[in-house]
Amino acid sequence: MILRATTATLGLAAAAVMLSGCLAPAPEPTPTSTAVFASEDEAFAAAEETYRAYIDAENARSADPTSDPEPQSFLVGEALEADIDARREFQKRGMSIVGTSAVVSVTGTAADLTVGDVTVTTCLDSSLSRVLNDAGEDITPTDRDSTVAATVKLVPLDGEMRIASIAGIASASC
Amino acid sequence: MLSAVAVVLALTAFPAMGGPVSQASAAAEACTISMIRAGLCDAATVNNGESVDVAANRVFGEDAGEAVGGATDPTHTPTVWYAPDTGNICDTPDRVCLRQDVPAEPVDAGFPAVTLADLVSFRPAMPQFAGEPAGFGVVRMPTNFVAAATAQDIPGVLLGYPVTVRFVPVAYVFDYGDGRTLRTATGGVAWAASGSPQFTPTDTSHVYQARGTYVSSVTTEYSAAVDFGAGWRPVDGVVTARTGDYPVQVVEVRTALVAHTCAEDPHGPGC
Repeated sequence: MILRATTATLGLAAAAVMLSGCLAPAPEPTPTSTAVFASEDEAFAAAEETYRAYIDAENARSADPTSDPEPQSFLVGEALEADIDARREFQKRGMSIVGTSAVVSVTGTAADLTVGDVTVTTCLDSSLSRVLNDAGEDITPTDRDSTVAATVKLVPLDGEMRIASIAGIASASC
Repeated sequence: MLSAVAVVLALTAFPAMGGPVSQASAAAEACTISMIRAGLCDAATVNNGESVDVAANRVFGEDAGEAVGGATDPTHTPTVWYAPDTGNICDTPDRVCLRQDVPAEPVDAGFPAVTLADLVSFRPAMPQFAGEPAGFGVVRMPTNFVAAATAQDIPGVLLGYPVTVRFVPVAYVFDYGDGRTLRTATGGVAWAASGSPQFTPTDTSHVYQARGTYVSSVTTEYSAAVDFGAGWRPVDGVVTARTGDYPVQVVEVRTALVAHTCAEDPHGPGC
């Protein structure tokens, strides 16, 4: 009789343990930081660094066709496709650019700290660069604006920022 | 600085990166740095609402349809395109073209001849018109009439081109309302302005022979000239502008000796 009562008690206890085991809260996932940037300033600084490095690479490429790094290594997506197309057209037409362009300003416009997408407004001064044709003649458009404002979008890729798109800004002077 | 999760998010999120970022570039055109440096990305000049010569198309020749001149749209600044590899003016839509500055002087022959019939929508202002004494005249004495009109420049659009039309008064035709008219080069001068006493004959005065109310008016003849931006070009003929009717009550004047003023005797003769 006592044994049966003990058995019953044990059974209840076991059931209670099992029940409580089922109801026990699942272990919480360890929180991991997915934010790419800690602040907008950090995001804009990274974007500006990449953009300036890209223009430096473009300038170096104007002087030396084998310069390193390859400017297109800064590009991805739409910007890369557009640049490949433009480079092909320039070659087909025998057009080339000589001289340098200078970054006048890079201003942060928008940053998604979590994803890492950054948009900056840039101002580029190309008054020291000329467009040449096959024969080396200057065919720079006479109405060219020497300074052009552009919206540049950058995305993080492999731990570095890449330029994803470049768009001229209508009616913007800089 | 970058986790694998972030990379996946970036790659999937960016192509559809709508929201404020792509809105900000809604008024922009895709470009490359090489196009910007070559002056082929001047978005400011392509976004004028008139033309759609997207910068990219200027390089790749997809939209060279509005080739030389762009004269089909008169409000659009004419554009000359040339092929950078040859320097020749583009004349076929499939050529790769760069834009070049418009020649400084507009071509005179490009504008159509203008006739008076084309100027119907341009109306010179109505001349000013007055008589002396105001509203009255005296039988067999000069009634003075004065008209005034000035040269006017009226901007507008003519035959599809922006234009300034200039009207210069050259003659005044007075209609005195009794069947007599006078055409003169001057609009006349008021008695006070010329220092003359009242009822002095002037270049534009008229003598009515009988009592009555006469409806007078003046018609101003303007010569017209048009300027499409290439200088003034005269238009044959004159444009006229007529004033409204100006009634003149012509009375006889009789003298009489009276004992009292009208204030003293309101029922007296002539009161």
